[in-house]
Amino acid sequence: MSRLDWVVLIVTLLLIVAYGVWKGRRQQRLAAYLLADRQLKWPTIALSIMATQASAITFLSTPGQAYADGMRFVQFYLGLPIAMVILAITAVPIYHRLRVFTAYEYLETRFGVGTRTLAAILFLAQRGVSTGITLYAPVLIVSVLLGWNLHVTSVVIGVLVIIYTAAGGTKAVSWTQVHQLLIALGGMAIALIIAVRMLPHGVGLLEAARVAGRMGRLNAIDFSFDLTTPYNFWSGLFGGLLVALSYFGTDQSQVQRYLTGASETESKLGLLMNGMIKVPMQFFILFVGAIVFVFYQFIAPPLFFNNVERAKVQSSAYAAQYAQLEAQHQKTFAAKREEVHALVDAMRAHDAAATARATERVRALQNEEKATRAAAVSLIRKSNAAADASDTNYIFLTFVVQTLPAGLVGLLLAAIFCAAMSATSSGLNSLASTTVVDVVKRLLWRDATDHQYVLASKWLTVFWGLFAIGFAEFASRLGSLIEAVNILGSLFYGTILGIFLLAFYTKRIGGTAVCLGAILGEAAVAWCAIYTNVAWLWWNVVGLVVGVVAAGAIQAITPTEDLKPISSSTR
Amino acid sequence: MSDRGFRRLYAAVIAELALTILTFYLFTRIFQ
Repeated sequence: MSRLDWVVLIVTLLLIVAYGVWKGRRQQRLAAYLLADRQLKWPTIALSIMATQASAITFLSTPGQAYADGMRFVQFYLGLPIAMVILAITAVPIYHRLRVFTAYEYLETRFGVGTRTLAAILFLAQRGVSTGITLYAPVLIVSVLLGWNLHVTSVVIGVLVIIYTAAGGTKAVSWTQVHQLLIALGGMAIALIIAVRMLPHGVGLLEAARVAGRMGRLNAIDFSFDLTTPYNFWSGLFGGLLVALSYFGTDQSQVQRYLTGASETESKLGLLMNGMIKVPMQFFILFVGAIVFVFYQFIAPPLFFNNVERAKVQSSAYAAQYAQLEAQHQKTFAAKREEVHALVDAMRAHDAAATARATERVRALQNEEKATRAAAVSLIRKSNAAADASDTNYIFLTFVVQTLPAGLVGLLLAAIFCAAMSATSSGLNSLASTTVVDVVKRLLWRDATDHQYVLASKWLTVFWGLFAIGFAEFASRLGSLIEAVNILGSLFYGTILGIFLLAFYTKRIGGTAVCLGAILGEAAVAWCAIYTNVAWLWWNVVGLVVGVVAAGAIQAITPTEDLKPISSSTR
Repeated sequence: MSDRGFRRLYAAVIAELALTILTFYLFTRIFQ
């Protein structure tokens, strides 16, 4: 990295921190610190919701996903707009009417303190660990590619987040997220422009899109119904709807974003705008990855993008075999580059027959390249069984570091760290809120002043920040980090969603039944995770179904349980 | 915003989703 890159990176990050501290100054009341005094307008809410979901992994991993697998991942978000409409109609009016600080507080008005505490603890366990991974994952990728010290980097980024999140609370988090998201998206737009400009003479954006499409990278929609493929229209619409309902309706890191709305209307508009912008935004990020893929049809990509794992195999007993694969990879790439040029020429000449022939040859060479890569991955695994055998997360950053001019590398790194900081700050903010409101204020220290609760919130933000940084030490042994985040969420999301569905849509099931049902649901998930080979995505369904059915059955055999009125506030 | 306004907005979000899916379908077909 050049000196200019360092200046851009450091100045951007420090400006964000200073802005957050300034924006969130002088907040003495808990409603001001945790809910920005319920004064935010819908544009801020919408961008804050989007920035919370769009962590650095989104900006690093999604383009890599398009590079490796095409754009079909975009279908995962198709259920999201429908979820936003459902939540605007059902959840937002309830949360606003009760003027709750956390989603779990609502559960007490419906089912009693036990269910509230259980849901809050499940959230703290899941979000505490996943915030650690949110912070750690981009730091790991950047450290590997740039040779930075992993521990120092995670401490520096973690401390920067803690400073403005603890000092400024939710107002600082929401306002910095607006700028962080704009910087991150601006960085992606710059990367797209540079990728197109670096293409050979005569290959513009349209030709690049045509090449990407011919090579199977613009597969944005697939209507085939297949339970074994992870991303198609049906799984995206229905599975995505369930995930989005759970995440945006019950996860405090998201609920807190729209509880800051100046009115119910502002909160609803914020959610609905997220529903309108999110899918096109993901499409754009994936499209950047598809164009980076085309760029690497003309400039030789490394055989394996993770240079640390590459170096390990190159210094192992398998070095000679790996060198052979490298040579094969270069040979295949050179032949493929010629054919891609032929394909572009044929398409420009509108010669259908020549286009079809060139496409066939390119695809054959693409399969050869794929086989060589698979052999390389196999060697890496043989050389080190604990190796990270997926290099998807490293593709986009490799492109940035290798091709962008001085200054822009720093800006893109700033964009990635901004995304990491924005998602982490939401996580810390929601963890502190839930700990203070649902545990400290409700169970442990009920007669403190507002100012004391604000102080407790600040110190708890620091505590959860240090927990996230400390988690980095453990995370290095988790393997694939994105998968780890999803696996972790799947341990709890089904059960929590079940509790909220019963709260929103039933009137006859009481708190004890819901609480016992949730414990049984969680036990079923734990049993699946420990004793069976059931894939982790199904744990969500198991937790939801077992929790809801068990609660219904328990209520049916104990019909005398009293129900608390939905309008009573126990805060 | 009135209830009627919100109903229109909900319809707009769903309509945009339908239009997006149609666009994705055409995009996939054109560039495949």
